[in-house]
Amino acid sequence: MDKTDILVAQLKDKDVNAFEQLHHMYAVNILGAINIIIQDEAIAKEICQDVFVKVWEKAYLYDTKKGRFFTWLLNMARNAAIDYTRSKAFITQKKNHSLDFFVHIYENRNSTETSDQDYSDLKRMLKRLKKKCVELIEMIYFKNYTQVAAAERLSIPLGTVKSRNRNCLKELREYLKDEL
Amino acid sequence: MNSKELIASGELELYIAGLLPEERNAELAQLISENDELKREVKMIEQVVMQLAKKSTTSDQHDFNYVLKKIITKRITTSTEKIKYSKQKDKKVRPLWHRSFIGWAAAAVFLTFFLYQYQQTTEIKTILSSNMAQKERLEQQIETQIKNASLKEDLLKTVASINTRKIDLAGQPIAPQSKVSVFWNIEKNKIIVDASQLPEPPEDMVYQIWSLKLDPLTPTSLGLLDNYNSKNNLFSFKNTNNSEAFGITLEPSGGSASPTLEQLYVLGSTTS
Repeated sequence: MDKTDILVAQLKDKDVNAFEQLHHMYAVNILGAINIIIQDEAIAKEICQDVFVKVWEKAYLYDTKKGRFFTWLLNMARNAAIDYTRSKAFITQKKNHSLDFFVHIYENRNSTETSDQDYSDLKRMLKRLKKKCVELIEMIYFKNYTQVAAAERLSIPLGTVKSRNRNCLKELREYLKDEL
Repeated sequence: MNSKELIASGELELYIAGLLPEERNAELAQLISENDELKREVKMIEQVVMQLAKKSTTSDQHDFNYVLKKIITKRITTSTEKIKYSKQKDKKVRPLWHRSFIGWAAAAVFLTFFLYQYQQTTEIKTILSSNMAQKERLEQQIETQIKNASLKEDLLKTVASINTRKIDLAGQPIAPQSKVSVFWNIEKNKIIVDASQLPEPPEDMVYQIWSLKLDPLTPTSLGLLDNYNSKNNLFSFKNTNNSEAFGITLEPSGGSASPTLEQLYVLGSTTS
């Protein structure tokens, strides 16, 4: 049992301190994951808070035997964000919403456009990759695509999804070696 | 497949994404938990994804207090509804034959409800003890909630007791939709009245509950359902009578010495 497992067990027992620590450990990542879909920091923040409210309420549903806690959180965040994109409020104001956040950042990787300045770290990170990696990673981790759907959208064989995804992440691992 | 092959397969990356079929997911979870090399690998992959996510926002997330505030506000605003809902649910299906069995089932439902309520109270207390900016303002709101909860806790303890019988009072012609459940603890000579499904009484009128002997018809007043409203509809009364039925009538404010039978809202026999 590592630290996260212990905290999660405490969370299930409604331990607020454990909840706070888990929030501290994951909130910023969950916020980012939501922002990838919503592309509006203020709304993403609201949704992120709501996700953690759900975490508190539904912690009993999480089962270690079914996957990582982060995966559970990420899944909840994606669903909440995607639900929001279907709301009226979102549909009416999404004019500036580019379909794919990573791809958009990636395509502007060499520009110094002010609007993207804030994501300079991400830009530096994505720069390392080929476009096909950027697309795939965004779909697989942040957009609720199944393997089949990703293969279809990218017009690649199903088996390629798994291997390409691994290779793409490997490159990022290399890059992040010093940070991790 | 050994762990090296598994790592090379790219399946662990999909595991972190949550994209594997449930069965395979469970298999991998098991394998990973037993193998340090796999565990390390999975953590590394997770870290990469977490880094990507982290860099996709410009803000620091230091709003744990907002999360707490939302949890509490939600609790306060929904708990009344939940209470009503759980009571209604309990009442929906109630075939008249098997009354006693259903009675016990209902008592079990109420016990669950009591535990839920108790847990909710504890939960709110726990949250309060953590350091929050909004603490004082929220505390006042919660005070009311907790008071409510402990009253119900006491009432429901009685309901759950093994010496308690449940008597259903059915709606009468004047209000056929009405339903009331009376929980009669014979040992403690106490009844609890769940009157959530009565219409709101008009101003200056009050519901009065009666214990009835049937032959000859002898009503004894047990008391008034004072301040009845949608949030205040559980009442407790002493009942030392050997009641054969219970009824509730609508009476002028202050109650009456004998029941106004034209205003009989619900009635139920204890002997079925």
